[in-house]
Amino acid sequence: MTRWFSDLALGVRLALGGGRASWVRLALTGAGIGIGVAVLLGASSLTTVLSERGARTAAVAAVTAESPPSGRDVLYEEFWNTDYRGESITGRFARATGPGAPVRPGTSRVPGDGEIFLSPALAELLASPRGELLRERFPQEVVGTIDRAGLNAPHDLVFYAGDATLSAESGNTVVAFGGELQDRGLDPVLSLLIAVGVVALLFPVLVFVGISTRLAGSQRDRRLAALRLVGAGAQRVRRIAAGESLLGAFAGLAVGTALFLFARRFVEDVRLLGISVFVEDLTPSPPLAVLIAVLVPVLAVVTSIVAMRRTVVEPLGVVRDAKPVRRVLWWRVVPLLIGVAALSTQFGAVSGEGDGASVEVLVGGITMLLLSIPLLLPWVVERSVGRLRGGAPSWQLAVRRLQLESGTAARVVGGVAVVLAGGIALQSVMASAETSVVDRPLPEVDRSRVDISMRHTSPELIAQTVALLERSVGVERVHPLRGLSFLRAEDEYGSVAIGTCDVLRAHARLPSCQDGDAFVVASERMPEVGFDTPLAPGQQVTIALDSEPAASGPRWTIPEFTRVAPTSEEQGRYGLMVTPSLAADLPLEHARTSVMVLVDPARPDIAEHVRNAVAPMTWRAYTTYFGETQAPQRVQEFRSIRQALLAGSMITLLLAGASLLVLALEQVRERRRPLAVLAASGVPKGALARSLLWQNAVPLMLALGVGIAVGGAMALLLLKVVTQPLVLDWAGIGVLSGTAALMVVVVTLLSLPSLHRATGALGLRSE
Amino acid sequence: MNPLLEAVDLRKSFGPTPALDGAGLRVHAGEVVAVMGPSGSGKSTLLHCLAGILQPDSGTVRYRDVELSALGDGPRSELRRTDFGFVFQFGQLVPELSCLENVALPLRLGSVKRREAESRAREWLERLEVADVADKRPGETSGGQGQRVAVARALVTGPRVVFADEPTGALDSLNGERVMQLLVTAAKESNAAVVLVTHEARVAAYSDREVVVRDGKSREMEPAR
Repeated sequence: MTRWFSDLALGVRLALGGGRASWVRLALTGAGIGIGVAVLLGASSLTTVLSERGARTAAVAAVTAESPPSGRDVLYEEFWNTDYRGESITGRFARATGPGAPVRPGTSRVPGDGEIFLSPALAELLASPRGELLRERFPQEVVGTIDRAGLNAPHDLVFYAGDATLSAESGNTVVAFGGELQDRGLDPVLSLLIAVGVVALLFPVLVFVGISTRLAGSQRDRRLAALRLVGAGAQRVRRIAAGESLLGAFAGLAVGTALFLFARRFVEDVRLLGISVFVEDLTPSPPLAVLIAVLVPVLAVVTSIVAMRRTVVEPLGVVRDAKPVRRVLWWRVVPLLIGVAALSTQFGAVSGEGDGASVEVLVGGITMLLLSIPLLLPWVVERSVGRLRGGAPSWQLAVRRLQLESGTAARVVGGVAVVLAGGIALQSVMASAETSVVDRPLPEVDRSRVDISMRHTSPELIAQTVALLERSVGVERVHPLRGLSFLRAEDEYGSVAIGTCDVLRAHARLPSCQDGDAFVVASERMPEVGFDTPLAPGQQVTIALDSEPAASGPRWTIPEFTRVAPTSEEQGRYGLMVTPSLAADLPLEHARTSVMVLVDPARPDIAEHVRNAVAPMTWRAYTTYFGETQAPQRVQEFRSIRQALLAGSMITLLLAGASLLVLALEQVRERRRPLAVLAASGVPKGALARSLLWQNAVPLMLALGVGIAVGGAMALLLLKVVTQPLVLDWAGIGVLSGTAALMVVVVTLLSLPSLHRATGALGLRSE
Repeated sequence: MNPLLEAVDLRKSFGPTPALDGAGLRVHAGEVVAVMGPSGSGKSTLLHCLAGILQPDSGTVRYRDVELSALGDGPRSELRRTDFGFVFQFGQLVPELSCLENVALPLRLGSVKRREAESRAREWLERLEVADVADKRPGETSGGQGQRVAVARALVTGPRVVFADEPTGALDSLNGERVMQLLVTAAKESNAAVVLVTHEARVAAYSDREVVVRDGKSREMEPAR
């Protein structure tokens, strides 16, 4: 064991002992591994982010009672949300029955009537010029800030206001806070894709960590060969090399941790796709952090030992190495075949309804397919560049260099190809899956209409609301409509709307109308919603009252009616509509109220003005503006995840670029002397720069080919798993491939100063 | 007297190119043998086979009646550490270690304590007149100083055979002469044999006898002096 430690220590000594060159090499290795470690630490924090959010959501979940318990102070609460220029503001109105009422987490007390607590983001918005129009909607006195315990994320726009009008009838009766976590659950296809996406994005990071440990590989080979010469056995040289790699890995862990901690400080300022995260939440899960701390050094040691296998065979590795051994293909295709076989076993396992797939097999299959890329690329590059001949001197220099040693170049671009393949597969699967949900048409855009639905209203409140709206800027007409639900037979619900002829005309195309008329609104697309047989005059129905079982309500007879068409196919009101005199024996005190507001579409911020107009009604009024139609939630989820995956692919690609730059700089540094000799013997620096570009570009083009082929194949296999038609996302492929190509040019440009220094007179200096 | 090291009918090819084609050599304890020949004649390959670094395709190399090709990697590594020493044209010193650490390295690999290893290494540096560069790295020394450090490292373990492949090839004549004087003197004092690969007659003049390698075949010459 002592010998083990002394060999490892010698390795560390060798890694540190070369003066400036050694420190530069260690810094580059640390940077290369560190970037990967920082990303891994970020990813390992996601579980904490989700669990902390879940815990807070559970902590603020209200425990409600049907009726107020006697002798105990409770809280009446009502949820409300409003939109402001595309952003959603949510909150609750509350009234405490006494000092013992439960206090909502995140606030210091229950706000009194006319008081409000605001989240920091909402307070900032209201204080900014951007929130000027919103201030009218929150006239309450601000008495405090909702802290982290009451929020999901730092950018949440949330309020908590007092309202003395709330009662047991109008609001929920809250007896305590802190309930069970409600997991809505994602679509099975989405869950699977997220799992696959995480693998596809994190696997390249591990590839980069592996590549970074091979920086200055040829120098190390020479150093270890010298050790072999003076009698170090193969095992000892491996241990010494392991010591060297360990130092690089630990430096990488330190750099990565520092990078992560530095970036973490700014996380609350970042809002990506509407998602923001608290600093405290972005904490790596301890088991995953330990796994990273173990995995990175192990990976570094294994990679370096595998890389130096030829040095172990040849103690004088630099003396005789006439021709490198030609790479063989057979074992390189094994992971590819295993991956294809694994995914093939899951064909059709994930459908829209059920989820019969084994995530382990799928993730394993994807990992194998991605692993096959860095294994196949060295073979592909060697065979491809082996056939290249002729060309300009810069081309010739690059090609000859690649023919002599293509392994490093292939490994460098291997990471890029892995990102590309993962990105292509995920984007294609997402694009294909999205077509099935996006095929449904979006609601029609109508900028001249705002609907307001009201709760717990009285005729006075409705009149007050109508008056407020009529006074508002940009409002042209206001049509209040009351409605009730009825039960015709078991599970056959219908609705009856009550309004004046003027109001009814806003909803349906009426041939004529006078008080005492009734209409059934139907169209070819929506014949009569919910009914097996058409509604007929004289039929007896039961009016459904909210507070009682549906079947116990009063009976009512369907009056004579005329069939008419809606004013709008998409947003029209369907079903039975009657004029006020026919509603005399209906229980209107139980009726819902909706108000159709026709507005001037040319007026800027018209929806905000209408929302402000009904703001005094607070939780009693919900507004829907048809000029800001939003895609259904599932479509939005697909889009968000697809964007997140594209963003993830781009971030990983940038990471690949950073690694590529580190490796390119190291390559120049390592080949300083031959480059200086070339420059000294008259080769123009431009030709050397171009040869550097070709040296990066040729393997990259091959890597793009391999990445697209494996990524396409993976997309095909995954689409068969999720039973979706093949839709290759050519735009996504183009963006990712273009970024990768651009990256090579940028990396070459950034390595030019280093080349300039290397080709100076100092480059010719030898030991 | 049995030779210390004996190679018989060695053949070795690199791909289609033959490097050795029936070469042989005998080295006795304490003698200096120069292996001469033009570039590409196979003399370095012969040296690498003699030292057990390269395995010949056929033929035998016996050291103290032990067939080297029969030994595994571990025993051959140990042999290089304990019985053999090496001096090459350049590149054999570990650039990350100081000159003192380089010389002490074979001892430390053989589990000699650091203090003792460095003390013995310092003695050898003094004998080879380079004690002043003990704390410098090889990159900070001149070519001649570096070669003397390499000679010190080759001799520090008290080897029975020192293999020297063009040890003065990268030095000017003055420095070359001095390195050869020190190498041969120190080896003689330690009763170590020296196998000296060179294409320079003035370097070969330090040997007891010469062997010429041409086209992979070896031929014994008359003693040089």
